[in-house]
Amino acid sequence: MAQTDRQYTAPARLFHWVIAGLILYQIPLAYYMIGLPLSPDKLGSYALHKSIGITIFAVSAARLAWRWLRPPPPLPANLGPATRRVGAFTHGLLYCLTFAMPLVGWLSSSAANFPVSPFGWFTLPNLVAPDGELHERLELAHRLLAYMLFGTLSLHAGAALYHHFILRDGVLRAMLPFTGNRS
Amino acid sequence: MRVLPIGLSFLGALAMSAQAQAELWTPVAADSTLSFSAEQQGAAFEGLFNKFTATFDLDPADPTTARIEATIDMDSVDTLYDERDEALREPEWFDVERFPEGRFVSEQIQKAESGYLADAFLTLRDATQPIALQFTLETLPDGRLRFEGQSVVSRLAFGVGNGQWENTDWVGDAVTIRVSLILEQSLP
Repeated sequence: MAQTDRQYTAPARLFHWVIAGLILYQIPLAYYMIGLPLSPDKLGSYALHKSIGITIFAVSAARLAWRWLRPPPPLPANLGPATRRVGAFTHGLLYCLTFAMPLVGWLSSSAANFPVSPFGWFTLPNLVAPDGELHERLELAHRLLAYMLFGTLSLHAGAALYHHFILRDGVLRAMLPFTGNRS
Repeated sequence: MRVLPIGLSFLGALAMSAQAQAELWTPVAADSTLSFSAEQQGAAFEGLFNKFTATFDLDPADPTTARIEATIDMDSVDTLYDERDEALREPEWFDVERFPEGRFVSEQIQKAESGYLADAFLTLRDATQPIALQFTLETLPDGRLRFEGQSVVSRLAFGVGNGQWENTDWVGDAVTIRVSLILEQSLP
């Protein structure tokens, strides 16, 4: 099938921006909740953080399935192989992180005997038996993944702006919402 | 000559009643657990009290005459997460420094649809409240008894989780207490 369309499909764009919005909400929420003294507000903030995390995991799974059904539009022909490789690597890493961060968070909660209940709708099973030492290691892993995410997100957003303002090649526009320009 | 059988049966009845008298039973620590389940962040989690003692003044043939007393070492709370255990020992929760022990004393026991129902008083912190403990009692092949009990209590009725923790949005009020014991007869 010849795909001449330069734009991501509407569902693909929706998936992208929903996940982007949720991640951008998670980061300040994480720093806010860590700093709180033990209180109902702290527990509520953690509950929300976990609920959003599980949502990100679920939406990412749907997104990946959609990507398989409707592959993304081709990149501009003038992009060199090195640039393509860096882009593919960054995107791959971002996909991995949208799964790995919620999963490690869920594991960490399990190890602390804090079962996760997304928005109180249902309770997820504990993935590992409660174990204080394991919990600390998983919490550290979650933190390191977060730092990796900050770096990768910066690269991703920087690249999008570089494409848009310097290369002016329409790569960012392919993902922007409300740009019905499908010619 | 009809006196003898009557006399014998009378003696037999005496022996029966002597045997049926209440005996002292205590839990075998290694095979007994006192656990609870509470709701946090919308999800149930389990915890234990690792140290407790109990005495059952009990006739296995008629548990309704039993008297049960138990003492719980509140410091031995174990929710499998140290930070939460530390928080539970604080004044806002169990306040173990001022109230190191919890107490359970049965008042009256009656037969229920399945098993028995004990009306009892539970003391946590400085609050004593009536609670109802449902239980079953089973004699094991080795002569020991299996006691399985359950009661749902309100933590707030005992002031467990006071101040800001009276908010039940993220820590529910209802706590299910589960008692699973193997009892052996102890010598008086």
